[in-house]
Amino acid sequence: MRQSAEADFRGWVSDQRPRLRRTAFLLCGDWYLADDLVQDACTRMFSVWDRVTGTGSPDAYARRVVVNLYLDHRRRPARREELVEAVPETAEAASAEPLEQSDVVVDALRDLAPGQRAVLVLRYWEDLTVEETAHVLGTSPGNVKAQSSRAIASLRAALTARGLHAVADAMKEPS
Amino acid sequence: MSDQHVKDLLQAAVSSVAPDRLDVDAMVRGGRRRRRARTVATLGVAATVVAVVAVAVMTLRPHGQDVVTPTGPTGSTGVAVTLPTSQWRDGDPGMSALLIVTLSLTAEGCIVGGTDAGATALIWPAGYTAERFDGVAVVRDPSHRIVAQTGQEVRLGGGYGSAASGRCIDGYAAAWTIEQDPPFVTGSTATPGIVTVPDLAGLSEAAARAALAGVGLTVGAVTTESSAGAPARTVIAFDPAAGSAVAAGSSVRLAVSAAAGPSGSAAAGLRGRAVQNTDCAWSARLRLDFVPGQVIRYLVCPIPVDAAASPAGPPVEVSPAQAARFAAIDAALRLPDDTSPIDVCPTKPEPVRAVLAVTTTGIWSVHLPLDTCAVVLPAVSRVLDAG
Repeated sequence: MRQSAEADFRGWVSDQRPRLRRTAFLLCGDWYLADDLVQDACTRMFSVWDRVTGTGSPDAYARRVVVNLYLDHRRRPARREELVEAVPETAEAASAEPLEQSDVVVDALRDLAPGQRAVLVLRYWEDLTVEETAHVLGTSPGNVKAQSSRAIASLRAALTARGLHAVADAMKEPS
Repeated sequence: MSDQHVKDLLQAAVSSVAPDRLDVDAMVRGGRRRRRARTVATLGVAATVVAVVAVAVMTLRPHGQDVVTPTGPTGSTGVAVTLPTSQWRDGDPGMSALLIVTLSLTAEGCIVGGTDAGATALIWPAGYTAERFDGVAVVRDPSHRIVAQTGQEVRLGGGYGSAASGRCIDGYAAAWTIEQDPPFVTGSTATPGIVTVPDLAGLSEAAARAALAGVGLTVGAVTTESSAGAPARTVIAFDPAAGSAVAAGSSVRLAVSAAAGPSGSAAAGLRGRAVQNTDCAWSARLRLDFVPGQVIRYLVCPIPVDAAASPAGPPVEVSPAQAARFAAIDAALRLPDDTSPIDVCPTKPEPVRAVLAVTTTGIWSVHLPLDTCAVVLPAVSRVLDAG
């Protein structure tokens, strides 16, 4: 029986890893850290696999663990990226190639607070509703709504600051 | 519009993906460790000693139980061998002298360095275990990896001198305490005879056969089981488990998924938004992105699909030439058709129970759990095969 649980888990991981990795990457903006988050989340998943598969959806549970690990990671001062006054010269500055729009978006996401980022990723990447997002983050739907409008405003500002005016303006259009 | 724009931006941000460095084996091992640690913790042991106790429990377990419980005898399984161990663990400061020696198994069942006459007793790091097969013994590290076997020449960092005594230490002129992590083995002097069962989970049956042949194992009984979510003809279980040490030439039993199962990862996903309003009615916007093949149309059904289209029904080729057949199914199910992402909403005259995607590979269905009030996107299952 345990062997088939392991096979189930392995199957589930191979199905879900592309999605989980992308979710984690959108949250933290770093593929290395994203893989660490997913690795850790899946390890936790397997330790409670029977319970998770018995009572609900492993996908939703995994999403929740990844988001919480990310927020946890950001809260832990020892691991948080250090803020320095002088920005070291970046690789991009040396390279003559223009940045891809996708790189700019990833960079712009760094301007957002972790909570805003989580709301943005859950609502617009994971396609969750306000209520589901609130459930994952353990907060109220009202808070999620407020956070997501703030997140979109910050993202727009961040994109404008990086010269993507057209993209930022397009986001302004009423729905 | 604005919402869609944010979605597109996020989608674009992950358009290029870095190589995947996830390690599923480590997840499985780590998950087990966590589970075990939790079990110990619930027995009331103080949190600070949980980790130590968890490892101790692991070393006391005979081989096999840590991985999976074998469901029946296959090949030969080892007999536990007494292995003296110290408290030394990876990361502790250790003695750094070097002993190069060939491991041997004595008549008393001890693993020692050198031959019987001038043999040196060996004290292994904490958590190491050993087991014996016909004339060969293998040593495993705490994660059950085979790190050495008798007949091999090994380099063992550590030093002479130990206050320890006990079986396999007493009676020897000298005892060497190993305070180094693997690898120990120096050359390719591995004794043929004992091999490790490779991890076969998720491999196709042919790949599993090749993997077994590659390490000198044979395929035993192959059973077919239906398994939702597993791709057709892939290994869903095997016995003995991955990492088990067995005699070369012994057989491994396989359980493979039935050929008619939905085709794997492609079938397991459903992307879309399912919204639930206050009175528990469904309003959903679904797109069956991961259904294999090209989606020809989506169909919304007011009744459960199984009642109308039996999985045992004849295969259908989904092509314009078969339009008449689909028209018949449509009529039977009273389905409006739609080629774009579908909206399922409570304003429809009848409650929606299922959504069908007609694709070039067959008809796929998603059942909506109307009565549970749960916002869980269900799995996709195949109703009819194409061609």
